[in-house]
Amino acid sequence: MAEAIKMRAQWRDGVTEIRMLIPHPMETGFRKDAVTGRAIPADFIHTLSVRLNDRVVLEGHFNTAVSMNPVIAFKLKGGKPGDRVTASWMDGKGEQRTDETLVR
Amino acid sequence: MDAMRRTLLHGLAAALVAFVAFPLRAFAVEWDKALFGLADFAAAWRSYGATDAPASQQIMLVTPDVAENAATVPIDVTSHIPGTEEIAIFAEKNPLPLICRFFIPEGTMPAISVRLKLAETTRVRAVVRAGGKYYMAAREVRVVGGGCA
Repeated sequence: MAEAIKMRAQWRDGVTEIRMLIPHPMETGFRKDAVTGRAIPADFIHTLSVRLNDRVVLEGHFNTAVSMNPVIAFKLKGGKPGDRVTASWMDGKGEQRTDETLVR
Repeated sequence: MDAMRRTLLHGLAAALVAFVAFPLRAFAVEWDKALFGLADFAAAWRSYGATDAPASQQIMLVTPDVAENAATVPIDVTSHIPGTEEIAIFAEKNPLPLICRFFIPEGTMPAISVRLKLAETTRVRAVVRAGGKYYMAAREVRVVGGGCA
């Protein structure tokens, strides 16, 4: 089971800034195991979706070269303290995770 | 009576499926496996649709000049092009050059921060799609050591 997304949503002057860190190995598939020499299979998040209440505010499609434990930040007009921010991701293994936070 | 019950059950089942699938339905655009799998930069660039994208001063691409840690290179892209719908990032010399795409709905500011892995010294390109047209900005990032190791 993947770890929870660490997320912060901060409102200021009519703009909501959303920052998140998504715990995930983001394996490229290009690395070899140092001991066995076997290729480590690719394992990466390919899709991220962020919603403010029920509205999609960002959709991301990733490849293997997004860093391990992806860190994403963006801003949107509007939102207000107390609004619910929900982030969902899905990886190539079909694993997925959804977490939420409130705008502060 | 049975028919009605069946209809009702079908309805409930459909509602349940819709509910469970909701986070997935939020993904409006399917992840493009073929596009992300292209290993040749020119092919990926062309296939993405950015072949004739002009360089634009209205795209701010912020990268370090030298990547101290090639496994986590901070990149900021801000578009001042009206109607920006999508921001994508390429690294020309990465084994898979198309690194990420961000779809920007109305109301979201066309500015994104992300961290990338770079395999070697390479030009990083940001592409903006606005009104169905493509624009780009590029910066060279020097890599000391490899990011995919």
